[in-house]
Formats: sequence, C-alpha cells, structure tokens
Amino acid sequence: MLNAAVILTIFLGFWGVVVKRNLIMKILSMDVMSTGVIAFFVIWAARSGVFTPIYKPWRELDYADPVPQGIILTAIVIGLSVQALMLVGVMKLSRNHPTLEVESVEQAVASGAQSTSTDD
Amino acid sequence: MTELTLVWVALPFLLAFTTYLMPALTRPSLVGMAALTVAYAVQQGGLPGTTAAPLELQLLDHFGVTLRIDANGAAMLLAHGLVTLGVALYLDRRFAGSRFLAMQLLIVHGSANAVVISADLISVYVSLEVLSIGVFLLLTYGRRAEGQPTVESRERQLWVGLRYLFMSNVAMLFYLMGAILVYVRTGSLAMSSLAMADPTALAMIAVGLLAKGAIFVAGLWLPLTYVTADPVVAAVLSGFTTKAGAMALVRCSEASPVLAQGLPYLSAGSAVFGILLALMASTPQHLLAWSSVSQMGFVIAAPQWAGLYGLAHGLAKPLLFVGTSVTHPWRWPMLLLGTASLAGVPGSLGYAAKALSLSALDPWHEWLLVGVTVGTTCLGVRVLRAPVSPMKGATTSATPWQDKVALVLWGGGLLWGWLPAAYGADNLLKALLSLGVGIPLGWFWERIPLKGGSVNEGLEAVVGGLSIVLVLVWALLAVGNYGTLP
Repeated sequence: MLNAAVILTIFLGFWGVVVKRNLIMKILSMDVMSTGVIAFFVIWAARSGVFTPIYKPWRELDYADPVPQGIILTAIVIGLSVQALMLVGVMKLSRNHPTLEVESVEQAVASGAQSTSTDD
Repeated sequence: MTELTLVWVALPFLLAFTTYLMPALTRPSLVGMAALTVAYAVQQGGLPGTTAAPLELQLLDHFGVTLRIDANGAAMLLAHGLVTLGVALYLDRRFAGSRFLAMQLLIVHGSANAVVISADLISVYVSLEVLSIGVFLLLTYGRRAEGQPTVESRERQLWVGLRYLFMSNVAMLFYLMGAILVYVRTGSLAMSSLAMADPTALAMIAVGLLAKGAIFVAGLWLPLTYVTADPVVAAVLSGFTTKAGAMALVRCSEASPVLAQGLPYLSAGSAVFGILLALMASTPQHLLAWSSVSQMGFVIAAPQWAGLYGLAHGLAKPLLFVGTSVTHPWRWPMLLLGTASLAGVPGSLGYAAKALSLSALDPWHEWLLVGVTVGTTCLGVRVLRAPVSPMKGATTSATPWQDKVALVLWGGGLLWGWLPAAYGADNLLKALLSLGVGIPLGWFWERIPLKGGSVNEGLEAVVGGLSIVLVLVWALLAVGNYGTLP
C-alpha cells in the first residue's frame, strides 16, 4: 500500500513535468517526483526494520538499512541545489517573460535563433 | 599509484575551491590540472595503440565504492585533458571576468574525470549531477569579452541551460530508482552487481545515462544547446561532458550481459536518428550538433573501443565548432582535419577508431554504420562548402594565437592515427567506399530537391522523448530476459 502510494507520487510528479505549461509548476512537479524517489529509498531501507541504525548491544531490534538512507541524503542535497539554481534562472527569465509559460519562452527563443544563430 | 590516482581525482575540486580564495591562481591551476590529466592518461595507456594494466581501487567494503582505470577510460581522459587545455587558453579572449568560468571548467573537468573512472552507481550519479550543474553555469555565463550578447541571445542561453538542467535532473531521478532496485536485489552498488539486476532496474539506469549521453531520442536536447552555446563552451560539451554519460553506459554494459545485448540497437538507433536530422539541417552548427547525436551511436557501438572513438570524436568536434566560428584562413586546416577525422579518411585517428569499432560488430550493425558514415562524409563536405559567415563583433583579421594552439593540440591529436590493426584491406575498402559515395553526395547535396524538415525540440518534446526511451529500453531489455535471471 505504502509502496503503491510512493510509485503514484513519482508518476504524478512525472506527469506534471510533462503536462504543466508553467515553468514554476514544472519545477514544483519535479520536486514532487524527487520527493517520491526519496520516499522510495526510505521504504526500501525500512524493509528489514524501522529502527534507527545505531547499534546498541543490549537492544535486540530490527534495524533499518543505513546505506540507502545515506545515499538519499546526498541526493536530497543535490536535488535542493539544482532546484535553487533553476529557480534563480527562472527569476532571470521572468523579467522578460512574466507569465513563464513554456510555449511563449520557446517561441521567443526560436524566433531569435533564426536571425542570430551565429552571434555570441 | 593509488595515492597518485586519489590525489588526481580530488585535485580539480580542491583547486577550484582554493581559487575562490586566491583568484590569481585560477588560470595556472586550470592549465596545470589539464596537463596533469594528460600525463596521467598517457601513463595509464590512454595514447592510441598503447596499453597498460588496469588499476582497480576498492575504496569501501562490500557496498562497492570502486574506481577502475583501464585503457578505455584512459583514452577518454586524454580527451578531457587536451580539450580542457585548449579551452583554458580561450577563456580570456572570449569572456570578460573569465576566472569564474575557469573555476567552473575545473569542476566540470574533475567531475567528468570522476564519471569515467568510477565503477559504482552512486559515484557515477554524484559526478554526473555535479557535471550537469557545472555545464549549466558554463552555458549561461553571459559576459563576453567582445561583442556583448543581445538580450535575446543571453535569454536563449539561459533557456537552453535551464532545459539541460531540467532534463538531466529528471533523467537522474530515474537513474536513482534503478540504483536502489539494484541494491535491493544484490546488496551492492558496484557496477559488477548489474549482472544480476532485473531489466526494470537496468532500463531506468540506462535512461539516465542515455539522456546524459544524448543517445537516440533522449538526445533531443543536444542540438539547440550546442548551437546556442558559445563555440568554446560547445567545444567543452562536445569534447567530453556529453561523452561522460556514454562512457558510464558502456561501463555498465561491460558488467551486464542483458544491457550489452540491447546496446547495439541503441547505437544503431542513435546513429540513424542523428544522421537523418543532420542531413536535413541547414547551418553548419546545426549539422555538427545533430551529427554529434549520430556519433554518440558510434561511441557506444563497440564497448571495447568506446574510449578510442570518444577520443577521436572529442578532438574533432571542438576543432569543428571553433573552426566554423572564425573567419581567418586558419579555419581551413581546422575544418579539414576535423571533417577528415569524422568521415574516417585513412591516416586520421577517426579512421583508426572507426575501423577498429566496426570490425568488432555484427554484420547488420557494421554495414548500417558504414551507411551512416556515408552520411557523415556528406555532412563534412557540406560543412566545408558552407559560406563563411562574418561574425558580429569579430573585426580583426589577425589570427589569435589560441587558434593556432588549438589546431596543434587537437588537430595534432587527430593525426595520431597509425594503428596497424586498423589498416586491414576490408577496413580500407569500407572507408574508401563511404568516402567515394559521401563526397559527391555532399558536393551535390544542395541540388537535391529535398524539403528541410525539423523536429520539435521544445522542453516537452525533450521530456517526452525521455519517457518514450524509457518504455523502449524497458521493452528491449525485458523481452526474453525476465525469466532467465539468476
């Protein structure tokens, strides 16, 4: 059940990435998708048990697997920085494209590409 | 050797962060780092025709954090070093305040090195993500030394940078899911454990790497990005950052027979898809960019020669991107050497790489790629015959010394093509055949009445391409393999 919810979150996020027209919404959908992936890792880590993996000799418990948790920490940090960077880029784009609709940005970019493909 | 390797992997990042504190050191450390990489690659057997014993470092216990440097990776490292060295010399001329870019280039260089030598899934993931952040910053840096870009062109660069970052982040999320599925099944993250991974996990990992490597439909992001980027940044992209994903894919396929079965189809698909769109393109930059998608198919065609092919392509494309952007007479040797190597004229490194790769393939795959080479030759002729477009802001007719150095570094590398194994009669025959058909075809191409077509390269198409590739690769890998796994 939990597994299905996580997979559903990932798919909803990906669906939003494809379908949403607005750049901010696309980035938010990407965040939903990456939250799903993080939960996916956490669930697999909890397969063997749910207790924090700090070993104490007097505790006979089912510990969670620390490796996926460790990995996903790295991925969370990377995801956060990528999103921050993208939002900064979007802020700069919004100066001339205040609606941030993907289509309008792309039309502007494409019409400029024909005339000035060699300038830089 | 172990210590040297570890220092060499970590050094670019250390230097990059140090130079934030001591900006005066930026340029010397970038040039020095690139030279060190060249020396390291040569020492590890990266020069065409030499070999060295592969080096394997097991850094952590059974979770499989591993580095592996073999001749295949070393050839690619040589390309990293040479391209970075050439581009490092260009930065001052092309960009105002180039120190920031030099730091970014150090980070990009270091993370590309790390991708090529890592042999576990998570190191590859982290390095690829760092790579894409660095590439984004290189792409979107707006301050040019000569001829400030217009608002539109700056915005265009920002947009392609965002598109690249968006695409690569989504693709890497799939990769992460694949990695955890491999871990759950095998208890290790080393690439060697991919042998026991199930097709779903393999498909997800492959999609991440295909998107980063711009292979097949997942490479839809590439052409607009290369065309929009500054020629020098396009040289970095086409020289090694895009190949990093392909090299990781090749390394995965060495461990996993299931993936190795699917690789020829991806290679053929990418080669044909890229060349068809390249033939329909109109400007030299578009031609070259689409031809990169096609050449990525050649890189992954024969895994044992991927590094050599990557080196040949990674030296030819920067030369071509820089050559098409200048107007002085030195552009002709640049363009000639680059196109000759791309088309596989005997004597060039491109010929040797192509001959060795093709002779290791199945017949259907081999002849398909020979056919694609005809198209590549045709493209080369069209690039040479394209009118020289005067650049805005470039008024001086004197040849900058950077162009000469680049020609010596990259063009000289391309002449290093004398590998006796590549000069069999059948290989020469194939090369002459493709040249003989391709050159006239390219010469008369403009007279062929053909409607120029194009594909949608928008963000939605790029992300949609990813999902199509995911389904295709999953189907490709799952057919016949689901029941037979250990």
